[in-house]
Amino acid sequence: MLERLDSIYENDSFEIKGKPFYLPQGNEVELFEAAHENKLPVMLKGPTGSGKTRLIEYMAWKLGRPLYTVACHDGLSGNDLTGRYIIKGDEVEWIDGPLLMAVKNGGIVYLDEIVEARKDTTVVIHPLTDYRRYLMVEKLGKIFYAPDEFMLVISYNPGYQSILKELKPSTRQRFVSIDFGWPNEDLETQIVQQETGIEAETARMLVKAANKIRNLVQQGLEEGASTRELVYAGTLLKSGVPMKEALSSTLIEPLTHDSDLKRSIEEILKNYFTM
Amino acid sequence: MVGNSIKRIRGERKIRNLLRDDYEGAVLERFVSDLYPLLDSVGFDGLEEVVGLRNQIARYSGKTAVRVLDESPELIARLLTYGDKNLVMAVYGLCRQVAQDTIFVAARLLEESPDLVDRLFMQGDKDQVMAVYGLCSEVARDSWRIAARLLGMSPELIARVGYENLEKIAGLCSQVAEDHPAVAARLLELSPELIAKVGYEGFEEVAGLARQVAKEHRDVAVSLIEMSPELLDRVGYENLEKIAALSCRVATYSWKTAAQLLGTSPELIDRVGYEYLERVADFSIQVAQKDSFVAARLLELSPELIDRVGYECLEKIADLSSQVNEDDGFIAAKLLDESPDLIMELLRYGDDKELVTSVYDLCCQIAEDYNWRTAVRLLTESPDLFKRLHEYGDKELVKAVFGLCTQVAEYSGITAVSLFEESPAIIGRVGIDGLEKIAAQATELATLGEGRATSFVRGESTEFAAFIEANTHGLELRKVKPVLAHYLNALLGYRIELAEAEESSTDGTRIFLPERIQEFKEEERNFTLYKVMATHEEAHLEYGSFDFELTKAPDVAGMIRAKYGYGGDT
Repeated sequence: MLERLDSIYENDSFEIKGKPFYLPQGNEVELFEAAHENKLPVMLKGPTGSGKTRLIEYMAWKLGRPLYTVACHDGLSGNDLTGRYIIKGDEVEWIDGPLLMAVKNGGIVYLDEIVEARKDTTVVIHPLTDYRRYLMVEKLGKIFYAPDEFMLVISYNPGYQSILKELKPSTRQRFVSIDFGWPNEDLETQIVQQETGIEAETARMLVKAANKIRNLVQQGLEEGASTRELVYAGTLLKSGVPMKEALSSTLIEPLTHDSDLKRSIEEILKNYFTM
Repeated sequence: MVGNSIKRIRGERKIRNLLRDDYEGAVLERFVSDLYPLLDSVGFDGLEEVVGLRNQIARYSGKTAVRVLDESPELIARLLTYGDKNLVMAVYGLCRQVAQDTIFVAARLLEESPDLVDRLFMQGDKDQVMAVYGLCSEVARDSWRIAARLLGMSPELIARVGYENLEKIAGLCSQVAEDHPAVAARLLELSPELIAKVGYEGFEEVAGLARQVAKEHRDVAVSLIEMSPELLDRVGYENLEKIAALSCRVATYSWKTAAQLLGTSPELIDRVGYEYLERVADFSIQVAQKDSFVAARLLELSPELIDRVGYECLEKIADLSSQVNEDDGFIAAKLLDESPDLIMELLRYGDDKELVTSVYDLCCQIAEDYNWRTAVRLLTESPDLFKRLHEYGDKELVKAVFGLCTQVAEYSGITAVSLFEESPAIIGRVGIDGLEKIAAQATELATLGEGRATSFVRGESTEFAAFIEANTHGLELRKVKPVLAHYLNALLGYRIELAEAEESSTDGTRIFLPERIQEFKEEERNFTLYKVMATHEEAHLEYGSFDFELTKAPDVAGMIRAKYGYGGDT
């Protein structure tokens, strides 16, 4: 028997209940707060696994707003964001999309990797990014005005996008941009240690190795080893996975298929760990 | 008094009559006045001899003729201190005989006669002096040259061998001079030395031998005579005969080569015996047919070469020179000239005469089957190839490698050359075992096609690449370069070029690593060594070993001064 679909859309599913762990790299928290205060949309730029999603969660918790996260993909259309009619038995029922829910509930909507979505999503979000702050739902024939608490956040990784998938300047300039890089060594070590519970020395070695691997970006690697992957590595090590397997599955295999690059990364890791 | 005046007038008239056809006036009177005293000392017939000589000389040189007249009074006066008119007559008589053929030699003989007579007088008396002039006069009938030389040498000859032997020498030389004046002259010059060594009988035999040889070639006969003192000393008369016969045979093709054979023969007989001398002569004839200079040079070098590498190798050298000589005598000569040094180099790394012979043997084969240029190239490369092979082993390795090449040569000479040229590089990669396999494979391929076999050995075929890949010892840089390059880029944060060098180093823009590492059997350990070397050099760059900051120079200078003490104003 199918569950009622509306149960997943209950508001408190989208609230961040516990304080997420987040160590600021710079003043991104203050900047985000200021943007929210002033009803400005935010664009988070940075490589994958650099802490964008964690910041959003943290800010949603801090600001006490529900968070609606949408993982954009090339099949995602404007209708997916606004809502759709579904057939339930003999009846047709309207289901709000995540964007409409956020607008209705004054939540924070986070469109992750917006450039992956179809172009019509840009048309849909445009009115929400300027003084108008409304969402037009054509299928309902209505316009929904966003409350002051509503905030639109998108993420965007310019590192390996193709020209076809670039955000137009007219879209980019509608947002306040917060740029994410890799945290400095001390901060990242703290993050890895906190997230995984491994020894500080091990965490530091992971970070040092990752910084060397990151030098290979644009020289063979599309993206460097992310903080997320370091956390995964630490997690596996903490749970007793042998060193070689833990590091290979998190810091080598996900980064590249090229055998020479993989070997090179392995040799870098050998400088810090006994594999 | 009146009688004296009449005597003088008659005497001067006689003298004037002798000279009036050629002189007149004051000149004539001067001569008459100068010559008149000679009437008393040598008589009119003596004066006739003087004027007769003058007349002979005057046909070619008036000046010399005048000089004869001017100097005769004093000269005759000197001669008369040793003898009488007969001596003067004998001297002038001989000079007149010689003047029939050459006035200048005659004039010289006349001029030197007082000194000569003086020297003759030290060896004997007046009668002997007369006898010498008489002897020379007889010889001059057949050969003025021998006569003149005999006269000049007579004091020394008499001192060494006595007058009797002088007569014999004169007689012998006269006989030879009938047909071969140059030979006779040389015979005469060497007669004291020859007679001292072998006695007059021996000298006669040598003269006879020289005469025989001269029938075929005069210059060889002269060389024979010149060499005969040493030859007789070293090899005896019997061998001298044999050598002479051999030289005549060689002279059929080249007298220069024959002369060189004579010169080299004592040493050759010392080292290898007469039998090998004959064989040496045989192949020098082969070469001489094309180029006598090269043949002569071969002979000249043969004692030294036989000493170093033996007769068999010398034959090969001769064979190769001969083949080259057919096309380019200059290269052939150069090949010979450089052979002693080249052989020294080959022995240095091969230390084996047989091996050197094998090298030349292969080169001869290549010259015969392909072209001499390839053969010469192989030969000149051999010392360097031996030296390179030595880096991987000792002379046994060198022998083994060349042995393999010789085996391959049975199927394909050009493939064998290529194998030899590539052998150091191949051994460096796959060892002697690998080289053996390559040689075996090349031999098989040669039966299918020489080009294919040669390509294989030179590393130009895919078969070779696959073979090397499977058999290479150690780890090559080119194989791990991409990995190391990424690795270094990651450590440094920027791209840096990797290049090959003998040892690891860096110049700030590149990192140099060895072309191959084969410290360990395991590839992984060799890679680790590469990584260690690369990381060491990278660390210099990352941590600024070579960074220089001018602003820090004073601080550094201060530290040095503090540590080592103040050193003047420096």
